[in-house]
Amino acid sequence: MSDRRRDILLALALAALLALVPAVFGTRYIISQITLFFIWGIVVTQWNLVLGVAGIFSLAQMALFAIGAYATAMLAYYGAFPLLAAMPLAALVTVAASLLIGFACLRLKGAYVALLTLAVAQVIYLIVVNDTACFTNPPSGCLPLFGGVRGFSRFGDLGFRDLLGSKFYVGHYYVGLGLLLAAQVFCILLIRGRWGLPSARCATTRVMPCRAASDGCATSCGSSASRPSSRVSPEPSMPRISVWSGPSSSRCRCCCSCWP
Amino acid sequence: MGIRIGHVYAQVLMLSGALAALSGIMVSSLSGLLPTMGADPMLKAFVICVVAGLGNVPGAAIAALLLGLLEAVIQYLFGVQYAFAILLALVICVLIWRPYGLFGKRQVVRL
Repeated sequence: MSDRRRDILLALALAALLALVPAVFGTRYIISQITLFFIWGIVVTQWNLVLGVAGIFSLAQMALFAIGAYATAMLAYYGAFPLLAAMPLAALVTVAASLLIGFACLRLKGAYVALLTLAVAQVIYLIVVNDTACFTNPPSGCLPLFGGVRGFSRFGDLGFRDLLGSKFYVGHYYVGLGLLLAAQVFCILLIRGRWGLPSARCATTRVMPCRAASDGCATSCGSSASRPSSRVSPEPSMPRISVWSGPSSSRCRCCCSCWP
Repeated sequence: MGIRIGHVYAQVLMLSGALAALSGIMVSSLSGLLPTMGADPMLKAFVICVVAGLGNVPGAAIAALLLGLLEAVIQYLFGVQYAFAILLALVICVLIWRPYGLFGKRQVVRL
């Protein structure tokens, strides 16, 4: 089984286990807390992609989180969009913002990326919090354009209150679970796909003494990659082999992938 | 043989901690103390260091003076709430177009 299939199956199995939780623990407190856990789990998934896999020390990720949340809230509050339409639109807004930040970081590396992204995050925070001029005057009082320190509230919901009545939080639970699963599968496909790390792109990796790596790896890779049961390429194809040193210099990790 | 990196790190942290303590003692005689009062000076010091170029001491002194005046002018002309955001936007621009700082030379990357 390739690493990609194994990871996706693991994610599916864990999600299936979590899908049973509302049937066992029905209390609102536990379900809401696990829903929050899903939300932060998605944040961790993307942070892992940015820092853990790509190695970009970006502190702007929570600012992007905020941009997504505020775009959803503002579209729903000012534009009277239903949330199901506001959420994908807000995602597009966030992608545009993250592209801008990414372009700004292109010539920087290491700590300078952290500095620039921290500055971006602080600018966004200050613009939101320091804005005191009333943009609208709802019955609850003065509301600045970006919500100010008060923020937005009651800008709509996903409609589970009408659908499930007092059990609406169970609907939120499954939405969170589905989004977390989607984020994880997306990340796995990205990391274990063509754009991923060389080590993660490997169908199989083997660790062996460096001296034997070049030929030993070739034979082991050749035998595993040209198996007729290989799902990626049914035809026996030439395995692509790359050798690089592992954590200890006397051992090498060799990568055998059989993508065309 | 060589430089003992751990010792150098410890010495640098000790010296910078002593300087930070000095400024903390001086601030305590001027204003009330709060756990969160360090965040604002910390960010401003970061802005100054980046604009001057990291590691450039005379440049940092000049940049501190200039940025303080600039902040006061922005507060007077546009409003208090925009000053710090504009300073940080300045940092973003400096990092994009002159990553080595206004007074810095192109130099080796530390870290």
